[in-house]
Amino acid sequence: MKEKRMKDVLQSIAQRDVPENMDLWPQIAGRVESRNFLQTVRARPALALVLVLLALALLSSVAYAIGKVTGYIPGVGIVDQSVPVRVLAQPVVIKREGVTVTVAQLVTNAEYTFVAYAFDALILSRNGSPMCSATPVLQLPYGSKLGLLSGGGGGWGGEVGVPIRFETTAYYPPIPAGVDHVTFALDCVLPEGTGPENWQIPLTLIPAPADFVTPAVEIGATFVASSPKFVTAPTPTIETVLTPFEVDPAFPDTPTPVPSGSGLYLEQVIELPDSYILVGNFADTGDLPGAVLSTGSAYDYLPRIEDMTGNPVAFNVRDDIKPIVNWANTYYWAYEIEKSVQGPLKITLDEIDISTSDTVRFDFDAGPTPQVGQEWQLNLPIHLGRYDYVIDSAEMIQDGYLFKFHSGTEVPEGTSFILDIVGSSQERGSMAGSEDRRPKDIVKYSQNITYLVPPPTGQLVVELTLYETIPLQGPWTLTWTPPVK
Amino acid sequence: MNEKQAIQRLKKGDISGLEFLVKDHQLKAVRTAYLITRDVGLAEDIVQDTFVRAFHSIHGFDENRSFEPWFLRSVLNASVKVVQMSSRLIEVGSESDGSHFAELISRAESVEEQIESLEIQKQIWEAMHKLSPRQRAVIVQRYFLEMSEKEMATESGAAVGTIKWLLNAARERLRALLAERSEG
Repeated sequence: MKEKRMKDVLQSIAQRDVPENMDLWPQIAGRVESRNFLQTVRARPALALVLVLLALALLSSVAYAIGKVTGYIPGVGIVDQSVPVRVLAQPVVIKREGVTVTVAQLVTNAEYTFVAYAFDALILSRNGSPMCSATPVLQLPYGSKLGLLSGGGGGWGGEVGVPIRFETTAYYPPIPAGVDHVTFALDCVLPEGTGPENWQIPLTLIPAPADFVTPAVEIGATFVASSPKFVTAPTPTIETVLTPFEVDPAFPDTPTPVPSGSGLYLEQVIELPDSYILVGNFADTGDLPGAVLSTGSAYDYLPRIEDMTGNPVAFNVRDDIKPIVNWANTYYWAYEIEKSVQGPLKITLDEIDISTSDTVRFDFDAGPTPQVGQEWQLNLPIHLGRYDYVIDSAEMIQDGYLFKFHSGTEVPEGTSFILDIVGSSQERGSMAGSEDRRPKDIVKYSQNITYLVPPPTGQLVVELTLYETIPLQGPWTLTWTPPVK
Repeated sequence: MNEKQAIQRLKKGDISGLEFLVKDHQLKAVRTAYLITRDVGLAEDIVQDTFVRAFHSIHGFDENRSFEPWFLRSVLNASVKVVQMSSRLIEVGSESDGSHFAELISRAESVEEQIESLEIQKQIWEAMHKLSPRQRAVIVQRYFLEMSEKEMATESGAAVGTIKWLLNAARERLRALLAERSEG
């Protein structure tokens, strides 16, 4: 696949569908203005009383959250029962011209509506998608619609010509109280023009049966954590401002650090009839010798969990109780543990991956009018991370510069570099690099940087940063004691 | 104001710094999220959320580094996560139908020459829809954001070999899907 053409196609699609004149600032400004107000208050002691009162109000709300009765539906997640949870009266199956659409599950609560649906008897062909790309909506009485919040994606596989099943889930806004009849509407199921269109599937909602939602209570998440100490100095932070901010109470916007710095932190404990779900994160507070590599998989960084006698405790990963956004340097987890285990429970994470970096700067004089093809021999020894390198040469290329350097073979694969010319990042076009390990005793590297405007000339300060992913040994532990019943 | 000054202002609580960053990076970020989510509204929500979170964590950011890679990494992760959260893949699998894909790939040698019309553009867009969220992300990183494999590895925290494997798998699946279309 030719890279430029592929890029052109993606650019065309993005330009076609996302207009140049979009502007998110008004919405973002509205969301952050509360912080700005509080910073003003912080700078004006005369208003301190307001802040104190506000803080008390927040503490009250935290206290209120503990002990809050909520609910849990496996596969759906935590549901807010402040309004009655409603579900589909019964699964609805509609068959037209050999294609079957099944709406298997619908759950609506105070926060969202969850829908699970499936298409059956799609025929996988060699000619592309067996289904159209239309997004289903929930139609309310009087014509209003609830659009998809997320979901509806998926994929398929199997033998060409054989009927297959496609199933997926989708999230919509909550269905208003009092609306018990909605329509699941799809423009089409099969590719446009090849099958029945305008599907209107009536759905009837009823109050959830008494035993449908597993009762859950949020209980106190008191814990003790331990973290190894590292000699590397932490990255200094200029200022820390404690700012009350409206956040999802289940997942603080900024992870709260464990008392001893980076490590395991318990944010929430959900008590179910037969189990506890522990929800937390591994927070990187900047005191590690590198940045923790976050991951979107709930199965990375699996810990060991032991009971009071040191015996391993079985647990289930609960991927349906996690924040949608996985924030860099923070790894979220949720584990379900049977109530019958003997506490205290000790969660141990033995190892995490961190990204380390080291930067070196060197001067390079390209002269006032460098020409494409002009080359400078530098032979400059440098040290980056744990390794020695020699910057061999620089070369003027079309729209930028190419730097060549080498190391000995003690540098493992998996390291990477970013090359930059200080003060020129605003107009930078692209950066690329390659690595050649064919010689037995040296590794040759090439890094180039190009610009959207004429590249900088004259006396330049070149910055070369080495990135390396390494496993960092812990252990990090978190000890939690189940409540005494 | 330049980017470094904007970040310095933001660290002091001056939201004009955030406004500068939003104006400067929002379009590329939304387009990146859109190529993965295929939903403009959702892409805008993701980018909004990511800016708000950046606002809250900016104290830990070194203003001597470029903001864009750091920010786009978060946008990419969030986009992949949002799509993954709500998708239940049945068999996207390269394992269950590996021989089938291999056969298609073998017939798709000239697909590279075909990406030159609106029809092909449409086909690629539809084929992208059938990739897994993670595969979409690496295609977007490599071709839309023009990141090198090393940059992708650095940003995602994976080994270069892993990125090569992911990218190759995505490319091969894309080729196979395009080959299916071209034979139809």
